[in-house]
Amino acid sequence: MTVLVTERLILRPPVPADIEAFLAYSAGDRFIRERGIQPPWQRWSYFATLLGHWQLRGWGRFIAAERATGRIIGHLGPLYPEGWPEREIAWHLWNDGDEGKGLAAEAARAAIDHAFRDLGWQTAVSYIADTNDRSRRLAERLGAVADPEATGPDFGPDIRLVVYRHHRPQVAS
Amino acid sequence: MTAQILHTGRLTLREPETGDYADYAAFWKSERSSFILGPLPDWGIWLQFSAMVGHWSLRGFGWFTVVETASGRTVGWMGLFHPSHYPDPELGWILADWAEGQGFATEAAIAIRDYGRSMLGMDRIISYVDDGNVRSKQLADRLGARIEFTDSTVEKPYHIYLHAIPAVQP
Repeated sequence: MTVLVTERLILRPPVPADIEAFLAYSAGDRFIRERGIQPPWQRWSYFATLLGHWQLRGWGRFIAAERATGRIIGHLGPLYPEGWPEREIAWHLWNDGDEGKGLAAEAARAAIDHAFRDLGWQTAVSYIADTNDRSRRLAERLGAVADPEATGPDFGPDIRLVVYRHHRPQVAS
Repeated sequence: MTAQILHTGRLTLREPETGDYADYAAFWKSERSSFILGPLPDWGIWLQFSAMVGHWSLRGFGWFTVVETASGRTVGWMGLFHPSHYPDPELGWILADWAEGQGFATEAAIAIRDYGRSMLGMDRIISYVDDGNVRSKQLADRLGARIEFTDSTVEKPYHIYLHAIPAVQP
């Protein structure tokens, strides 16, 4: 089992017991802004994809929780459904109150390092809606650069994605 | 948790695994999936497959990969879908083209239904079937399921079938 520990956070694989917290988060505005209003069974199935990704690939998006309290702040990390144009680092914070503290950046850095170092990725992107300013700023803060040559998955005519390409960290071998 | 396997006369029903994906994707890319919101893009199919796998972790049951025991060929995917907040467990099925017309779906569906009742304590098992899906409606009839509700107000009208509850032996 892969666990990443940062200064303030622990990143661990999702477990079935996280479902209730996930359903609470996904009933709220932050999820709805991103994916629209979805009935509970559909949000339940979304969480099932988090678990299934780990089972099928052996890695996937982590649940990020505060080390001090165990409180979940979001889910993020390596994401690569078959047919996705490239391997992605994705991030989702669950609460407005956790914005602006550098938590997402701290977690994303750990996830990016993990992808290059442990999973052997040669490159990584993040697909971000062009209207998602906070997420774009985070990508830029992480040193990612928009790659106009790359295309993202087709989410339909209403969503325009910017493809950010991550800077490959210098890894000591 | 030990892996769940059901055996019928001709079929083996087991949990989905990575190697099943190519056949699964072939179904979802085909027009055969049009009654159940397909065809889907590649990544949509993979996410659906991963949700099927994750369902087993969350509930301890789910959709099986159905294999013809003698040949090892994949017949399709069938099983019980029951997220929390979903009123009743749903028995669903998708069948590979080659496997039609041989009674495979009926054989597997009976096994799954009876397993749901006897092992999982499900007393109400339903199936959603698109009104235009003639073969699936025939299967539901053959299983002794009865239409409990029809929604004709939507673009693609569908039925909710309630599966028969066998008489309890005194």
